[in-house]
Amino acid sequence: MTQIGEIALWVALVLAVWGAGAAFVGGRAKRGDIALSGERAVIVVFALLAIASLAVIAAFLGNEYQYQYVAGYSNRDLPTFYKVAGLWAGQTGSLVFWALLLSLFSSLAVVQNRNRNRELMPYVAGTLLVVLAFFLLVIVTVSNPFTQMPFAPADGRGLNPQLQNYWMTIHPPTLYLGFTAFTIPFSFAIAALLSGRLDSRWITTTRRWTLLSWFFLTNGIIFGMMWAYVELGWGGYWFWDPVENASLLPWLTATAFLHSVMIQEKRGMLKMWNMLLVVGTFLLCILATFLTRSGLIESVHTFATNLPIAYIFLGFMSVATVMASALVWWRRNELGPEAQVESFLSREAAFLGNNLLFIAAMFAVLWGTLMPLITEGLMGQRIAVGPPFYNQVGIPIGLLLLALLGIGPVIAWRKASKRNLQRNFVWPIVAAVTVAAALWLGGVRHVQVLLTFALGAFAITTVVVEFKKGTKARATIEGEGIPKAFVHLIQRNRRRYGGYIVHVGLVVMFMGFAGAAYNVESEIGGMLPGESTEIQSPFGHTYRLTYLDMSWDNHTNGVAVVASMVIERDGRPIGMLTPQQRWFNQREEVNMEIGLKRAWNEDLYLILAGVDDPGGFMEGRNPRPAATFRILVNPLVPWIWMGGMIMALGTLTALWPAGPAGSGGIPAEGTERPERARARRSEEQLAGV
Amino acid sequence: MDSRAGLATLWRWLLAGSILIGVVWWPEVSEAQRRQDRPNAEAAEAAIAQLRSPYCPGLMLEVCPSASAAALRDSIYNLAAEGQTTDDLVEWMLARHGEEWRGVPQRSGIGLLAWVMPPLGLLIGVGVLVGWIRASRARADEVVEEPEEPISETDRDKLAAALREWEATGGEEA
Repeated sequence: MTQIGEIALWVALVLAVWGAGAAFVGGRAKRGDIALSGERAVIVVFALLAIASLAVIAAFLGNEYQYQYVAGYSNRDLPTFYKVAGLWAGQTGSLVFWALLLSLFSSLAVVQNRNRNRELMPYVAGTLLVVLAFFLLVIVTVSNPFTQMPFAPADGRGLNPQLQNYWMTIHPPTLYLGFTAFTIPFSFAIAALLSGRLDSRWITTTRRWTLLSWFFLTNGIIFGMMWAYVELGWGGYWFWDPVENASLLPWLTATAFLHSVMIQEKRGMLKMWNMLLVVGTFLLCILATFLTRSGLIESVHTFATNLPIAYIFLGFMSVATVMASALVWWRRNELGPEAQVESFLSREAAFLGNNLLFIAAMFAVLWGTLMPLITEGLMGQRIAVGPPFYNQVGIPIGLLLLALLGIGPVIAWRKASKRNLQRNFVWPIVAAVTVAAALWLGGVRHVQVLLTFALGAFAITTVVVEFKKGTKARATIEGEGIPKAFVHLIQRNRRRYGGYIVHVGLVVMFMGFAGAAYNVESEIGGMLPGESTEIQSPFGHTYRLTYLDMSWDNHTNGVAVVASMVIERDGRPIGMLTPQQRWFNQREEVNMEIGLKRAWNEDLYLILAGVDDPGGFMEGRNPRPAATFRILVNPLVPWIWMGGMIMALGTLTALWPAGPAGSGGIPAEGTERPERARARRSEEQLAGV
Repeated sequence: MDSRAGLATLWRWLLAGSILIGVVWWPEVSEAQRRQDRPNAEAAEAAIAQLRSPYCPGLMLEVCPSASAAALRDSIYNLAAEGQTTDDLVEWMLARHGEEWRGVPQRSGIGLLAWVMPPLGLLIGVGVLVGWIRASRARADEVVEEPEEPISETDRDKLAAALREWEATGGEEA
């Protein structure tokens, strides 16, 4: 099976190179037969990569430790669950996985457009195959999962303990789905530049792809936060690790693109800017993959430095940047605006402000992430920047974005009148002031927390008012009841109202972040079974934790020492927590499994930080070991996950396919009858779009 | 809007505000609770907050769960108790483990570059954006708009109905 897998990789590389050439030549020479050959190559490359991926998984399941990759990331006792996930556990396999997902999405895009966008598709297929060929070249030359060792060890080195968590099977694939899906809009943008079809068609065609990519990126990042929260055992969810940052960078530019693209669709402006954003986002997706796996910058995600891969990736990114920039420059006259910004008080200006802030945030995060490399290049010494830097730089930008989150959706297009401003912003401002005053009276003095909640209330109120206005207008015009009008309102413009729901989710998430200002922490050393300690939550609850006893047991792939803690809140028992320290076979690291008690507004987070003489305890010489516990109360962390869920709901609302004509959904682009489309636009204008 | 409707709206908002006050009631945490019970703990905490942990890749010393990191934190608290300042404590740790464990760039020398570039980038961006919008506005003033496509009968009826409704609600809604 593994030989078939390796052959499949080589054949896929040859086919990708052939297909890319055929697609570009066919597109340029207007030869449909040659171009079709290129498009079909995309689907065959997907089939070959699926075979190669199955071969890697088979090698893991068959404990074939003669393969360097399998020996490095698996061992005999590793549960099957993680052996399957071994495909993306290390650099080599994850590059195969990246290519597999990209080929899957590429095939879907080719099939979806077999009868549409024919003048774009040869260039789309060609661009996708160039990217695939690059990854395949890296895989077969410097990062081959089928590289054999001179001998076959009896057992493998095992999977990194921190990866032995169920999030391992969820977080990386989700993030990779986001990275790879964005290659589709990028390919359409390049195709539009090459073919000269620079109207909004490539944007409307890739709208769902962009949203899909954004959906996976958003959820991939949130899943990573959840993983870090439960697995790394330090009480936080985001620590500005270079690889975390790398996943945030394309998210920031993709979010900017999702907003600025609306200006192009509505007003025919920012064509060049949108091109640059698409290209930039794609390059940042590649950068994220590069940073994750090259090991150039120290991170919990990278375990070895691989300089050849680093140089190859840098080379690819440089070539892609130069080529894309040259194409944009070549088409610069055709990328001019069809309309102008007429006022600073307009939705266009608000969206431009939003774009500026997203790009500024991206730049700040990129700057901080690359700082060690920059300083090493300039003065030979690495200067790393930690969370305090990102918080100081990022929080003001975040607060400004929160303000624009409320302003952007309701300010008028072209030029807002004084009446428009009054009508749309009076209640949001009242809400903001009320919330800030309520928090102040409640004793909150932290300025950033006050601003977050005030601006959050401002943004949420604008959304509520928009839903109310739209529902009422629809109920009046169509003679529907309020609930029906509400549902139909969303159905008729899923992207807009889905976007509003995403805004609410983001605000809730920001409020959750603000809770970190009031984290409470305590470390108790030398606790003996039967002893208790107390910790006060910022919401006024008192948690009492009683160390009951210590036990140990063998788990599938090692041994765990488990502390049992009885928890009371305000004198009432609320259950037991069992934080653990785990030792894994074939690995020397100790891994923490935290204990977590969630409430709607705060988490009690318990870490077993140390056990006195664990060896003696397991051998029965020390039956009542003293232990060290770190206890944290993290206010509003559950809001972060709730906000994430609301964002997912909003994105799915925007992504959901339109229903059949007459069912209340928006027909797909190009299928709506002109008179119906005019009527819909009119309704939207009446509802204040 | 008549006065009764205005009062009703105001009442609704007051009620919503009261609920919000209840929901987000958020007492201050006592500072004493947050601090370790050791002399000069503030200096130690400030130093620890500026250092990355040599024992946890990518994590700051203050949150690193490793036992070696806990021992290092203890050493810093002990030195602080002897009267050392935050800067002394940071330098002590860096002298033992290396400059690369500094987690917050210095505000001098090459470290200043880290702090200056993001706000500078934002300022340049604001300048470019304001200049671009001004230029765009100037161009917009020169453009003579073409007459738009005449409105259809269906649209005209819907517009009239909506305007009637809007006027009926005092022009605030719809």
